[in-house]
Amino acid sequence: MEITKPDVVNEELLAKSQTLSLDELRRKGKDKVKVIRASDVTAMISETVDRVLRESSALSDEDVETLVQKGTKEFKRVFRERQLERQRAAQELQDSQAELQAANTRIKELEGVIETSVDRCAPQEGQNPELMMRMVTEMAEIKAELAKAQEAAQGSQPSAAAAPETDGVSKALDQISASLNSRLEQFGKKMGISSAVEARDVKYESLFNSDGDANMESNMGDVELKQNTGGGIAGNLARLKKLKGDG
Amino acid sequence: MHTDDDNTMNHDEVATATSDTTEIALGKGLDIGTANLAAAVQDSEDGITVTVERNAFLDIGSDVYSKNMLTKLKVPYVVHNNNIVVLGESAFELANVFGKETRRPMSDGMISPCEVDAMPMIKLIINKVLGEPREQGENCYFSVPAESLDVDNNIVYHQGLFEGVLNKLGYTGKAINEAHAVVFSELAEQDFTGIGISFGGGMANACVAYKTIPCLQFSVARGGDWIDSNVANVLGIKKSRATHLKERGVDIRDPKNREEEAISIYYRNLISYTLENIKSRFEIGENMPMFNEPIDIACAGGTALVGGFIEVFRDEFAKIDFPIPIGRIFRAEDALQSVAKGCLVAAVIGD
Repeated sequence: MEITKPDVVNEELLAKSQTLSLDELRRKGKDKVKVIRASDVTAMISETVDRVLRESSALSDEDVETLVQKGTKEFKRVFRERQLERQRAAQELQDSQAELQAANTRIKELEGVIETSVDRCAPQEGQNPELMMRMVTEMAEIKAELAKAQEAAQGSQPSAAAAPETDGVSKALDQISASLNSRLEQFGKKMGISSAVEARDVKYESLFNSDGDANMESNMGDVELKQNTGGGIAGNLARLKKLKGDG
Repeated sequence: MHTDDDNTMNHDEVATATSDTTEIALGKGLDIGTANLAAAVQDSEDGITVTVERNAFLDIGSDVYSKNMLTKLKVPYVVHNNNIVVLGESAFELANVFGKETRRPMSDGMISPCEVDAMPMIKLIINKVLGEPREQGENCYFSVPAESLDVDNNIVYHQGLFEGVLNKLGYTGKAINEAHAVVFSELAEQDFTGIGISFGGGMANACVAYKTIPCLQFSVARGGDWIDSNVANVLGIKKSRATHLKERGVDIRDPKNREEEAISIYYRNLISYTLENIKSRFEIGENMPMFNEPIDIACAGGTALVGGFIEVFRDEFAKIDFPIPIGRIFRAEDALQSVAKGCLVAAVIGD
């Protein structure tokens, strides 16, 4: 009488096991692992089940045979179900891969369309965004240098005789600085990175014409809110003015 | 990367050095946040005064006794549609006492489309924190969020709406991105070059700036409210209660109980999410400047007030391979007031 099915158990064991590389084990902090052959596990299960069933005085040989047959049948049924599930999963994976491939092809087509459109819309002077950003950066740096030069020119007036000449240099620097400011702003606007906020065309004030809150009964006027004091903004303003070339 | 937290500018020194240029200028700054409204104005002693009020309200049944009690206790209210509506911080406190949820004029950084009474209530609070203009048409720079990476939001309508409110109140309302305002407020010593991040109630906003010019601005629709909602969900409590737990003095490096553990987990997630998005935008590399020197990161906003915030931020930053060299990472000295202060700087300096 064949009581267990080692080949079926073995296949199920293999199906439930996972393969890990030595590197993966090491990453999980396992320097040493105990290993056991699947065939040894199967043999141990067979041996144990056989021994328990045969040594059991509660079951006759016929009962044992019936039990084994039922068990084997059930095991095969579950095993078949698992196989079908795996086949279905494999099919789904294959379908998804096909969809992914189709999507990738479509993305490449669209990228081609975008590239063509970008080429068509390239600025007439031939600047690209990176180039323009470099220009903005360089201009801002020149502006900062100019501010320093202005400061030096204003701070080193040696004598009354030299004053008109220094004023002339200072005025020239002011003009260059103003021109740079204007061009920096223009470039910024072209790139959509202007510090200024564009005026809105749509006005929403009319939404509040009839809200009538002025007539609401309220004690808001009698309640004082907590106020906090903080460090001043003189330092911030001074630096901003310097950057703008006004300071 | 430097890790010192001392970002305090020596204001006395600066004020002395620039005393000839220091004057009280017209202009006010207004931080229109999902959780708080803060107005900043330059005062007479080279300092600023910031008035903060919670952006929330709560309606209770109208009766003479309640009205008298609120008046006596100096709790701000208005009578609207036959209901008493308590405004601001008092609404939040009352909601906690009675186990109710406050009503919020804004959600996710924007005016809430679901709150019918949002506009009249927020207008009242703005009027209270801002006060009257010192002259008709005085500049008032107000904060707006940037376009979100993770939700579809209509900044144009939100911005236009608040320009309208401010103009109606006698100001000239001008919008500035809230993270850009953080740059104006906190990165003066770096010539306004670096990364400003505002962790607000509804959103986290980031701005990368080079010498004041914003090169990249974006927001993610996660902030303090996102933390509160998730904490409330996992603990099975009201959102107002979660906010109260968060604000009562948690150190997210060292959570002491289950509630604080939940808060800490969601804080880490928010910080990591924001940093990953900044990194990703840098890697895409569109219109990004090349920085030769390490730049600083300044964090601000009410959500950054929690204990251990900047340390956890540095922890999370260390976990990612950031594409550009970073110098200091620091939290603004007055994190809750930083955006309003930046708006004030912009308002005073003008266009």
